[in-house]
Amino acid sequence: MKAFTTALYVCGLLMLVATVMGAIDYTNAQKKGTIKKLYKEETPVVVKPINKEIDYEDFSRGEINRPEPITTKRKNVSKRVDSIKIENDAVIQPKKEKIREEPTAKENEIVEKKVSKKKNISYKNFSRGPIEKFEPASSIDTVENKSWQY
Amino acid sequence: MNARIVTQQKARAFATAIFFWLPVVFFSLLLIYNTLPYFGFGKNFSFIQERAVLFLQPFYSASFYVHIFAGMFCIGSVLLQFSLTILKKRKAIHVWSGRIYVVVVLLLGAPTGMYMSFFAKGTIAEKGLFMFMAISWFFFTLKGFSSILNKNVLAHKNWMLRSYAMALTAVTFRIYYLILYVFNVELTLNYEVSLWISVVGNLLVAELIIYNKAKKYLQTFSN
Repeated sequence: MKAFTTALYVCGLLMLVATVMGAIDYTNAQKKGTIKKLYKEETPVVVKPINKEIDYEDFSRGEINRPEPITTKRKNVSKRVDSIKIENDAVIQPKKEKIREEPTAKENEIVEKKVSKKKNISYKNFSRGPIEKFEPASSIDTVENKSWQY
Repeated sequence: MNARIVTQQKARAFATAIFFWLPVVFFSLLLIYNTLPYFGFGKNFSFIQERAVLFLQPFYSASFYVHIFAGMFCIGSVLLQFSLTILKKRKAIHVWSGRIYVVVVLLLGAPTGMYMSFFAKGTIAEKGLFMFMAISWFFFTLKGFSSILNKNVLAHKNWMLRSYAMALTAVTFRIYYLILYVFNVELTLNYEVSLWISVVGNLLVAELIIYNKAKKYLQTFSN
């Protein structure tokens, strides 16, 4: 029973030492400002909403804010040939001119790239670390001053 | 005993094994499996990289490795402790595994956890929660050990159940963390919420089990 009591005292002392050391190191870290650098995450990119003007004419089944064509249109015109005379006098009339319109975009239209983020969860994510790949500002190898900075 | 009661008991034991112990064993082993690579002492782990500044301090680094060793050992050894078969047929395994568990928690796991809690991720509330976890883990284990020395088996079971609930927060936290991640909860919030749910939830479940056992025990007197 005496050994048990002694072991208890040792364990209690260890807890006390851990608490005191933790408190001292934490205070030092706070003073040096090191604690603020911990667990910093990059601020997420905020996508600004596009101002969409809706008028009463849009209250229909048709397309809302149909993109207006840009004034300059490119036309792919095949070379005009009036007629070709073949030796046996048969006249081949040229086909009707084909005008192919290029798809046009609204001048101020902001093309938003939809990025669908697929969540790949593996057994390796079963940890307390960040799930998404953590890219630290400074890793242990790159920190120049390797001494304890507190 | 009535055949119907026996069948009910068997069905309940089977359901507990399937819906409780099977996931617990699986996730506990997964935790151990994921912890083992850390003992290569490499730095290419997201957990370490996130705390790169802390790992420059030898004391924190040492505490971390001791803590994960202790945690891994506790999570693994506890799986043997709750086996009734081992307790009845191989009592020595239960006794020695239990002794080692107590030593590991009181000497290694809880003190290192306490030290690391000062630098835990989250606000002051989460740091406080980690401190509470370390202290309560220490206290519950100590009470469990002292009660068995005093031959109080009932109290020993209850205190050890609470101790295990604290140890198992490491497992439940990771489960909640992944579930909330799937539901697109912001990562810092996810971390904090998962932590609170795992600690409070585990304690509540432990108390519920103890309450139900006590209720059944008291019913035996009225019958």
